Amino acid sequence: MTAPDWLIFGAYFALVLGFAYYQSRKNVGVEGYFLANRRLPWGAIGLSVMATQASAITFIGTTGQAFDDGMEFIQVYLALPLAMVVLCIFFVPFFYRAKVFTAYEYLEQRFDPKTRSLTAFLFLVQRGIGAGIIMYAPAIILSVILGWDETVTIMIMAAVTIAYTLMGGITAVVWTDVIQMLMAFAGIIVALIVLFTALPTGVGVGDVVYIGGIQEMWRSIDLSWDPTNTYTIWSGLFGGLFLALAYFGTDQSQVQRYLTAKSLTQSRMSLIFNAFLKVPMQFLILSIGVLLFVFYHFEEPPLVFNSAEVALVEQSPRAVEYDALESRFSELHAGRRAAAFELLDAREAGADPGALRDRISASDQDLRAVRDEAKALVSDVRGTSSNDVNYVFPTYLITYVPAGLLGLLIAVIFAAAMSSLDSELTALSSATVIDFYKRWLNPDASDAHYLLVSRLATLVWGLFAMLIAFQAGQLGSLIELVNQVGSFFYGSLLGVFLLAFLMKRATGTGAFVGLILGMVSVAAVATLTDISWLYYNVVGAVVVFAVGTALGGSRSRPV
Amino acid sequence: MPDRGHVQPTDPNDDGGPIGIFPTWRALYTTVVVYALVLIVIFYILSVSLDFSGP
Repeated sequence: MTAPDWLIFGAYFALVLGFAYYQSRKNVGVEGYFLANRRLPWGAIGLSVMATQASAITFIGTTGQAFDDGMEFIQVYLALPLAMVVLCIFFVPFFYRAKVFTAYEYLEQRFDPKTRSLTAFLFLVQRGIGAGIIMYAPAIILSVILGWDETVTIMIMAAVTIAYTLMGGITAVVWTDVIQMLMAFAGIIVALIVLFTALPTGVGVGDVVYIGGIQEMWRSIDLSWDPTNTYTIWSGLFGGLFLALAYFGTDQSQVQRYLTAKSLTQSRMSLIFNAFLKVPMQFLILSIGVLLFVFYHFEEPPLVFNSAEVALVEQSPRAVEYDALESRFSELHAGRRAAAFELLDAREAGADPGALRDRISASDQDLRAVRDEAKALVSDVRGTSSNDVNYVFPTYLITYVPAGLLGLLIAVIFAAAMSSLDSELTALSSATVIDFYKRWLNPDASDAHYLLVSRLATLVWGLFAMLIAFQAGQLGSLIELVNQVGSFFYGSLLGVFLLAFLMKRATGTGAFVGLILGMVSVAAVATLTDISWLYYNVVGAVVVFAVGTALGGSRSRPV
Repeated sequence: MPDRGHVQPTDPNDDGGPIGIFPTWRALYTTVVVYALVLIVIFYILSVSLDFSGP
């Protein structure tokens, strides 16, 4: 990075810390620390909801995924507007009017302490480790791309985020999320403009769309019914709906956001805001990936984007094999590049591009095959598989983006990570203090005492997340296990809340037993079948709802 | 344990009156649902019309 990049990068951190300090002065007591004294406007909350969901991996991983597979990932988000309507009607009024601090606190009001404690405990385990991954995933990528020490990257991210979260609680978190989300929007637009301007002279929007279309990169809707196919319109509509309901309706890191609103109307508006903006935002992020795919028709990409892995292979006895693949890749790319230029000339002249199109298509297949071979070789040498798509966008940034803008785009990646991490820290801290410390250990302390303990909990969770991030490289299988358990638990937790909101005679014991059986059912489905993980949430929610209804009663509530 | 929370709470101060340009919440929710359906149709049209993979 050059001096202007560092300047922008430094200015971002100064702005975030300064703004957080300014906002934090408005907080009063523990309600101020966790809920901003319920006085935040819907626009800020809406942006914070978006920022919490969009982590650094959203920007890095999603662009890489679109580079590899095109736009089909958009299907996961198509049910999100519908989920927001359901949440506004059935979820938000209960949380808001119950005047709770956490989603799980509501479950004790509705059911019993054991259901509250189990759900809060599952949240703490899953999100505590998840907070570490939020830091680790971008840190490892930025370290490889920028040559920074991974530990230093994690420490910068953690120190700044812990500092402003500790200082200003949820108020600082929401308002810094606003800055970070606006930066993300700016970053997306800048990345698209830079990509367009980097294309060879004479290559226009129509050409980009055409070349992308040759490999079906714009295909966003898959109507196939195969439940093992991860991304189809059906998995998106059903699985995506339940996933969005579970995430936005039962995860404290999101529920806490809309509990900070001035009124129920403002809470709802923050979610409706997301209903309108989320899909277009994901479309733009995925478009960056497809544009990268087209861009690399004219510029030769690396065979494998992760330079650290390439270095590892080149120092291994299998370096010769890798070099041979690289030569083959260069040769194929040169052929595809020439065909792409010829195709553009033919289109301009009004000639039939059929043969050239087939040539490009065939070259694409060959290039993918060589790349897959190289990835397999790298995996063999490393002993584990790796996700090379995460390195596509950062590699492009560092190689082609001009000075100044690079600083902005790297700051956007940091901002995305920090805006998710800060929300996790306040959510973890609130669940620890409200659902465990105050509930079980010390119910009658002063507000000042709870505020002190809340700050301490934020610090401890921040340090714990940092520790997980430092060790994440060695915890591979454990992290995978935790993520799997998380996906088992999300849908089941949704089932508990649906029982609470919809079934009058549902009892705490029915919900508790249903939650455990729901998680067991999802584990069984995941182990015994190949259905898309998007359906796990449907299975979990349906099993919990059915068990809870059977054990507790069957009369649905009057509205 | 009292069976609280199972009845939809009501608060006329929160839900009465227009919400921005929308006369009622029902109108706003309907707009969101229509918007979601329009998105699906747009993406389907894009998928079909921008497929140049060959005859």
